[in-house]
Amino acid sequence: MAYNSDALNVSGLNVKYGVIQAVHGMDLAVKEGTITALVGSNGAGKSSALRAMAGIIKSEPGTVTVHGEDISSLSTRDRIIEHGVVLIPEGRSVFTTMSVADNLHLGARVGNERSKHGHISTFSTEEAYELFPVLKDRQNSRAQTLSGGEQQMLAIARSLLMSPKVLLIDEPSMGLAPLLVRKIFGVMKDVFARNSVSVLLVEQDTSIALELASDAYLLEHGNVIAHAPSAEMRNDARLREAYLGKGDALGRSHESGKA
Amino acid sequence: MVVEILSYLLAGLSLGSTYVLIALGFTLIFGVMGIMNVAHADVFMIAIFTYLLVTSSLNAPIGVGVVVAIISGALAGLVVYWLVLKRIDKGHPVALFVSTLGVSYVVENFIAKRINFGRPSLKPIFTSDPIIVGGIVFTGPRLLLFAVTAILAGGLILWLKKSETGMLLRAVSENAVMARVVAIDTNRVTMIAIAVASLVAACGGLVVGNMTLTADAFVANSLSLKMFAVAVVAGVGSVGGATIVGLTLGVIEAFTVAYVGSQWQNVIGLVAMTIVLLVRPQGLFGRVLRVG
Repeated sequence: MAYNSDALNVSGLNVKYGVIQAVHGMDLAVKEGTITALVGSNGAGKSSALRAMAGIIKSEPGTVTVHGEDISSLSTRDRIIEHGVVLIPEGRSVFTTMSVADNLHLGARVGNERSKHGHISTFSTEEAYELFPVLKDRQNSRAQTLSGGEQQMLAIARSLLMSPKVLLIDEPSMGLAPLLVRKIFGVMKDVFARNSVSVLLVEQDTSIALELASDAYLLEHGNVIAHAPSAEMRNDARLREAYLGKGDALGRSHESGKA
Repeated sequence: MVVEILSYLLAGLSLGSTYVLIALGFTLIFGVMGIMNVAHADVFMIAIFTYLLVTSSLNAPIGVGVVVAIISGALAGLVVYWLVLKRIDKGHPVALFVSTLGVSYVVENFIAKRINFGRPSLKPIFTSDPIIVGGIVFTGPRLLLFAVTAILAGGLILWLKKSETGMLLRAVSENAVMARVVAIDTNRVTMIAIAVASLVAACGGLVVGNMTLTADAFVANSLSLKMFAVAVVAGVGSVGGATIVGLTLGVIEAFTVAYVGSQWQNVIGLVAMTIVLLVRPQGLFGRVLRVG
């Protein structure tokens, strides 16, 4: 039994697009049952790292383990079915030409397949409709007719139906009011706890990310430049200056990093 | 006058049905893979020649020829997928386009050479005495073509809309990356799409062969141009659109031949394609431009 193994552990992760390297030897861990944030400015390599963990893009070299098991060589599908590694891509990641119910069905069928592999989740379509009543009201509408916030709810509900163990969420706040993001996460925290879901949250909105997460990593130019509990990170002058307030993010954070 | 117009309409629908049976699969494959598979039209021809081989050279019963031809057509589509489409980087659409064109040339010329560039005759699959209603002649082979087109196009649209596999296929067509995110086995879905597309084209080859009663190794040449025009005008990926546009193109061509001149027949589709691309790049029935 791997008592101390993290829900997700990433070591030496590299992502390259041709000659451009987006992520440089990233080391990162998400502890069981927690929300960990990966913050950084636009283009820091956050989304690339997340997509590599989900197997959507290649990462070479680098190791990704889930509950102690190496999933680096698995396809996206096997990472989902066997290990419950589920990605919610950034933007409105729903099938816009399909109905709300069909979108949820695409998630539920993965949950069913996972339960055949012995991974039972208590989250059902009925519960999704209870959490987000608007989805029930609009179940026969095409997803493209939903508002941005409703589409994000749909994407989240669909991913919960896939009975995730490690949820990789990319920019949930994009285009949404912070209040709505807080509300959505407030609703989900209970679901995460009951199903022991661990979350890696990629966010550009640092203040909201640090508020939701217990632990945070700061990424810049593809390098992890800081790792600390969220509360500590919130009080970090360097980070505040670079990401929460005014100031020149690139130059100053580098200088203070060396100091 | 009315009888004349109705006859042209019928001839046009018959021509259009041929286009539909080829364009359906082409547009289905494009939807799922994002690939313009020019070699798709050759499945039509391969089914005709398999039927010829089984019924004439091997002297097997007609029914056996039909079944073997349909299965061979579906397999031919899958073989092209395994040997070519799967192995070429999707990031290079021109390479894919040219390689499917290459497959098309090789297959056509190989078969043409085997029959010394002749045009052997086919045994009819289904004939009947013509039915004449109000001066308009319905021949058995033409009625078979209409019936097969209606069943296959209608069946395909229903299957995509209602079945579980159809839903997965639509998901991959809308966004292939998102489909992987929800654990859809895109490779399996792609193979199903290609098998179904090829099966439809093979049936098309048989019912059209049943009308012409000749086997022409280069039949795909003119058809692939129409398949292309129909799919682009309809909006690549739109199966219902391809059905409507295919039939309409056939009717327009029939009237063009009758009232303008046969030299304009092949021009009209290309003109339509150009105009539609200028005005509505996603095609008449295309909902969204494809992602991934």
